Amino acid sequence: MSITGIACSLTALLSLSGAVQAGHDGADVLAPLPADRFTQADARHLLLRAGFGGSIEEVQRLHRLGLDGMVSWLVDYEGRPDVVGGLVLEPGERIDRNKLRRMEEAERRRVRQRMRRADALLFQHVRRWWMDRMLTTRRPLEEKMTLFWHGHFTTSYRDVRRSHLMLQQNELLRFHATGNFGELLHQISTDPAMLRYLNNNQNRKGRPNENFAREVMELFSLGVGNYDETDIKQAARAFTGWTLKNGQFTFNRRQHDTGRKTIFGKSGNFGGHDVCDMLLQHAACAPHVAGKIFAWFAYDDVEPELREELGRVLASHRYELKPLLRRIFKSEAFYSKKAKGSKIKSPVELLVSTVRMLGMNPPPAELLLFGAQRLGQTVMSPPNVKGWEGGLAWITTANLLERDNLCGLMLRAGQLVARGNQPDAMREGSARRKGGQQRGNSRRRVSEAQLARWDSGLSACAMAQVTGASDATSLVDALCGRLLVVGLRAKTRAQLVAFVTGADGSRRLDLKKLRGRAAEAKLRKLLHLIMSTPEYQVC
Amino acid sequence: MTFGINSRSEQSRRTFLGRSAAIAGGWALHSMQTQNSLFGLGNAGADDRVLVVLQLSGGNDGLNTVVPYEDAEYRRARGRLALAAKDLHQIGQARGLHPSLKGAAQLFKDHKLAIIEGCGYPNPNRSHFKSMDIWHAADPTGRDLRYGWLGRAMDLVSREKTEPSLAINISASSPVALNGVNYKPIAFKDPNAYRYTAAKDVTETFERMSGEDAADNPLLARLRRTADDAVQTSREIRSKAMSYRPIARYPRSSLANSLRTVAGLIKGGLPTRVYYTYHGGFDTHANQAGRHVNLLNQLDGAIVAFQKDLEQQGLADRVVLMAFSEFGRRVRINGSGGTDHGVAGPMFVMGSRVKGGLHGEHPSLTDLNRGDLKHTTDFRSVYATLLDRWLTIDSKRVLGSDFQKLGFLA
Repeated sequence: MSITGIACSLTALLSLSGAVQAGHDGADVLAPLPADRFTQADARHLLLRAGFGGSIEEVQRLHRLGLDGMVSWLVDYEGRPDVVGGLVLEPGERIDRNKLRRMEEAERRRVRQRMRRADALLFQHVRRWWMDRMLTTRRPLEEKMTLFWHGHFTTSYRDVRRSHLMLQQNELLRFHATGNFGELLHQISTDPAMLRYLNNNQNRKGRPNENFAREVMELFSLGVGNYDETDIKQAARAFTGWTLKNGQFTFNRRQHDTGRKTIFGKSGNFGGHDVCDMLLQHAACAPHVAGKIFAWFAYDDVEPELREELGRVLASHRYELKPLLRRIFKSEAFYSKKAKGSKIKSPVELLVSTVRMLGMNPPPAELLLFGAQRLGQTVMSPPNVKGWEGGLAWITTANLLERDNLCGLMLRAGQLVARGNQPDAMREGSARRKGGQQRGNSRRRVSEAQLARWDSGLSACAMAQVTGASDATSLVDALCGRLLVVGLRAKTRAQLVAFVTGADGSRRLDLKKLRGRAAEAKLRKLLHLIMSTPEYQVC
Repeated sequence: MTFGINSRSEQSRRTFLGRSAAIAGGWALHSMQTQNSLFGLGNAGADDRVLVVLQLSGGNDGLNTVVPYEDAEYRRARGRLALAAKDLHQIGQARGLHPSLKGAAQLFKDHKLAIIEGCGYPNPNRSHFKSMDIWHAADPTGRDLRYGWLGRAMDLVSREKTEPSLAINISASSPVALNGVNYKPIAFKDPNAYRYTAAKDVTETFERMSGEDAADNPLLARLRRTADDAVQTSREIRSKAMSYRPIARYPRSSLANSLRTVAGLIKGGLPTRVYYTYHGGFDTHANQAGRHVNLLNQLDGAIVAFQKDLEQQGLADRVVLMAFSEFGRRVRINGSGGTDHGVAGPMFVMGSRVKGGLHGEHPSLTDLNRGDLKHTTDFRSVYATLLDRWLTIDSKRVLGSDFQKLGFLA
């Protein structure tokens, strides 16, 4: 891709680092956590936030590395090979536009539809491939940051309609996941999927399309309030001629506006990479990006002085991300009360971490993709260019019940195989009924076969045995200790204990006989109840 | 200027076609409830008036929806996107509705559709999100966009006891518009999936775990309350929506499904005052013509079926639907056969009790602000009219100041 872009950004960054000397006034807001105060609960918190959580055994193993060791394990992952390799995808059939134009209307429509369908199938491969990575990765931070960038540099398949371009962008995001933000900004500006998504492939001299210019300022670099409408209009001219040829970026000189532009008070014959550099030099850029990264990992409502300090860290390292990530993961603020349990798990986090915390074998990726979609997160098709809003926006009455239902489904997976029944939550077709209100969408339906294929390997009995609990209360507490990051309310806890002892009229669990189908079923129900608490929704 | 004329004969025709006796009774009840609501005592009841909000997401191109086809500037600015007069549905005043809006044009002729032109706000924001939030919060300064105009209205209705299903969002997400300081809406997309699915003993324990406790931190308290609301409402909503048999035929679209669900819940007697629905995809930066045809086709089919269904169910006098978008689009066509983010646009209010016609003033196509129309009606005037004259909730308390009421409701 663009060597020039990288060169440009380096020059820009050199001048930037000169301009921004890391001030140390706000240093205490990022004070490090003393290494000897790093508890096992902290390690669990770190693994959930910087990755997708893990089993109690994994947490114990990582905790033994100490704070520095565990942060290094997370951040310096390059030496560790990943489980899922690369995905090779042949670009789907594409027919030359001119050839299409010459076709009869009906024929053209047929060909277009065929191409669309073929590509939609390929797209399912891409999505599954990414979900498999998240489920199995040994480099959790890499995938977590890829997910972050996917929400930041949003691009939706709904508009791009080219699977291989979505894959290419996903690989770009992963390659730079913890690399250099400046480089990533330059490269995403010439990324084919992005060019299509924000219509920059149609941004031409004399007929500018402002879509990309606006979002690159509002969302990708500066944030609202740090530019004006003129800056957008002028920047759009600078990006004219950045287009696609045969699915790859190309600079179309004839479509590029070589006139004088004035952006942020500076005038010149700027091109797109100049604009990227100007954005990176802008005082608002580093705090905006660093603050967003901190918020993604630690807590929302980042204090202004902390945001500034984070921005200084990022800027002083010329937009290298690793130093910033290390500082965040080693900071007291990251382990503070304000951070722990303050975030609502996104659907992807909820489902993937459930699999990983329970130590289950990875389910068929479609199952989780479909589940996340039902909960409002369609991977690679975010709702709009702002990405997913996150936080309480994930939580509505219906979504909350659906979260509980999906956890229940995953817990029952092994039993489903035995009984061959499929719960309603997964039966999209059940929306199809007499009145014919809703169309069943076969592509979104998870088939029984797929569910039955999943041997989750879960043994709730084994989980319970390991706790060594000898009474109902300590069993409930021990299981909650593994699954929840905040304590249960007394009332909920009492109900759960009653469910174990049978005091509520349900079948009693014999703690001395934690084996067999009945005990396994009962324990899975208990796990489901724990996962149906509001406490399970936060991390 | 108001051209909506709701003639006496039209009124009586509808009354006659409707259920005259029932309506007479209904009105007496209405005035009582109106009193209650004004004093803040009102609890929504099965005979209360309902507002359905339809959000056209992405920035609907108002100029190609309600077309000033005689304006030479329209043709000049829109180039190949300009719609030909002969294809439009004439609605008078040298305006025509987009070719897709056939059913809406008929509603307009029947005086059931009011169009308020040139709606917007001062210092417009061209970001989808910011502008949408401004419409939701009814705060053009954008200073505090946490709470929505309808959420604040529901705060007033439910000061004493919170009835969770006062406002229902037909989508899995939850919009700012319905977010009150205290009131939080019910939200679901598919009523059939709106339930807790587990074995009987698990469900029983789950339901027992809900309720009470102030000791939680605010985030958990909020989650807890949402869970309680879900437990409390899911069974009723599901059964009412699922047992509903519409009389009118709804087309196949996501919006039509949503409106069908709304009709079912109104028919089922839910105490809901506000329903919120969506129709998305209006961000037509490129190749707008065909996309806009499809979008407006779906819109037309869905709202016409909804109105017809309500009329045949005898519910039409209780329901008003308002449609809006976060902004209109740039006057001039862009280089991609599309239009970029603009500013002012028309709002639509539909219902049997609406004074149909053209309201407000069409913005000039020559007196522009940086290529954009200047708004002629503050959208909060439309909100104020709906709050005061339809929901009978004091608009001053919701919107912070007094906005001019418009003539689309008496």
